[in-house]
Amino acid sequence: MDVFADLGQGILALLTLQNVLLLGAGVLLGMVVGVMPGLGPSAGLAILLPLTFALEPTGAIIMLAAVYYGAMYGGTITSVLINTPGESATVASTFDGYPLARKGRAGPALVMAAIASFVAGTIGAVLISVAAPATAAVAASFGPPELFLVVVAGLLTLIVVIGRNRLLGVLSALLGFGLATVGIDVGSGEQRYTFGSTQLINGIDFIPVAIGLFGIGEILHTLWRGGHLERLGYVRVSSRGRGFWPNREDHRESRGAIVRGSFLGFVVGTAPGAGATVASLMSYNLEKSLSRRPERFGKGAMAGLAGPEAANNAASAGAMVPLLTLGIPGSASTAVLLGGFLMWGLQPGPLLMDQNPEFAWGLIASMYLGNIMLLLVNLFCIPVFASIARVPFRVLAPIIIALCVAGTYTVNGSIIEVGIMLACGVLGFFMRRFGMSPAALVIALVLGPLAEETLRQTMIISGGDPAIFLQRTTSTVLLIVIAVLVLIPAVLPRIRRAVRARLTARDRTNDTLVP
Amino acid sequence: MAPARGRIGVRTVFFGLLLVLLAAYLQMALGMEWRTEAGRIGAGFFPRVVGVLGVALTLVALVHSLRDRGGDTDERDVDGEDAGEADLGRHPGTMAIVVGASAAFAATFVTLGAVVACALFLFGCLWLLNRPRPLLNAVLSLGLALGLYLLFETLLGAGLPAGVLPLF
Repeated sequence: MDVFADLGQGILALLTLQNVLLLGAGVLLGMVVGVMPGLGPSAGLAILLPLTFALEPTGAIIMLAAVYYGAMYGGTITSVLINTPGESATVASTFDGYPLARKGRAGPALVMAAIASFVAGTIGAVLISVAAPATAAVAASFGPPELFLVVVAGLLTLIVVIGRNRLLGVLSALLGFGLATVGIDVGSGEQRYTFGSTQLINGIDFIPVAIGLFGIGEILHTLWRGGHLERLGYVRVSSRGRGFWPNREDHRESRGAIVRGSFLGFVVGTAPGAGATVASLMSYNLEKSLSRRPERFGKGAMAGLAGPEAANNAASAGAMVPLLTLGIPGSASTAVLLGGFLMWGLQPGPLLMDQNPEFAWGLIASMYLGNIMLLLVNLFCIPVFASIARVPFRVLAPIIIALCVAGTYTVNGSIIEVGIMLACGVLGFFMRRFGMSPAALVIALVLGPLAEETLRQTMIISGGDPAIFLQRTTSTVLLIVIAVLVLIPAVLPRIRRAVRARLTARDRTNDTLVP
Repeated sequence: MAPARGRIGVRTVFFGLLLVLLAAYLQMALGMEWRTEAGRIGAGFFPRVVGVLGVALTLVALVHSLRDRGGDTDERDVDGEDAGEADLGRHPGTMAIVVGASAAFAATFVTLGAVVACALFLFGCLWLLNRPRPLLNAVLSLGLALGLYLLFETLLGAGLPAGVLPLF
């Protein structure tokens, strides 16, 4: 089968000493990012991006991808030990992870979470190997109208699913599109919003924006809410003794949850915007509803930790499918990864797997090896990473800001970009505070040029007639998807109200019938 | 803490500023071509669409924030990111000082050089945030500034400004 041959080629491309070392460095750095309070995968990726400039593209992307899924593993440690999720994807892990730690079962909880993450990560890698070429084959038939609609649908899904405030979500995406218009217009050669500055002719680089919004914005938000004064209720964990390992009952209880979480997570992860947070919460609810003893959930049920852990790791693997095959990032983290791809001249999309098979398959192969590395690191170094989680935020915050400033400066040696980064940090703080979406802004900034370019090409093909979107089957289907996405927020609350009213009426009828 | 009714909240100011910026963006977009002479999409097409929608949505957000002046609350924790975090009050002053220090750090980064500016920034921030441990703060500031410089300059080969260091 082609998949095996391609995967074999990818493994060969991966197995150089440099790439394996970079993969190892990536998973370790990812773990560190994950356990650091106030830093999620997107912030970690953005901050670490400049550190990869000296590397060759394949090694750099392998390292960054490893940081991404390593951070997913690492986030669990703080969820279990200090009841503080590093980011929203590990919120569900606190529900039963922390109660387990409080019962003196931090070791088994963390080991089981690592096993769940490993199984899910590996299942995710297998599913990517199958799904990515198939999706790329479908996407290869996409023309500019379809690609434009995919960008719009992707952003709409992100806004609808994250759903904090949809109006502000759209506004955030518009700000990203607005920033993307700075620089030379490719169609006419005209300068837009450069104010005569030579530094702005090439547009606003996404790296300072991403570092500012995710890195600095996150730090400012944590300072604002008093994170520097926090005294963490830390649960100790020791790898000595048999109590560190899960018992037979834990394994029996978690087995089904891990498998279900893995498949659920992967499928949910492939949808832009839905991602790891939604997947982990869905998995938690699924396990609770399937459990014979749902009353144990929230009090330390191993399945309540294993399921969401599997789901969030599988979702991060699933999110790589639209990224690799369509060039559409579904989350803030994959948007930063996409920025990295573009920086090295790699254009993710339907042609990536044909034009750069060593790179694409090397990246997929690295996920198999990376998951094995992460499992070993997690099983044997949990106490070490747990001690990193104890570094107080008040010490960490200035160090991260210094790293952001130095990292941004090294990208182009431009102090103006450092200023843009800091300004975006302040913007990111206010966006978070007032319910806007920094992720939507960054994704729109990265996809803005693609959206404009494909729209322009569409209009050239059709001679300026927008009816072209209705004349092609795939674009019509995508338009229907977009219409559904737009209608969901309006229709869903009404359906919920109607169902609730019917259930209440039924309960009342039953009550009157029961003597 | 909600501001008293009648006072303009931070949220309103934020959306007001955003409206001004987007209005300026739109005004510049209106000066660009909507269509080229060949009938193709002009340089102003996309900015005008973004500008019009942006101004309209910001206006709606501004009106919402003005109507909700009494409840100028934050929309945090809607997706559970703050789960498990203790309520330690709000510290805009500390945050503003750190923003100011970061701006000063960036402004002196080239003239003073990466090591000196970084050490001063770290010491200043640690003095503010981690006051009971001055010795540790001093050691951390110097050590980390040198560490960062070596990491970028030596290990990664990325150029950082030397600043005043060569003078000594």
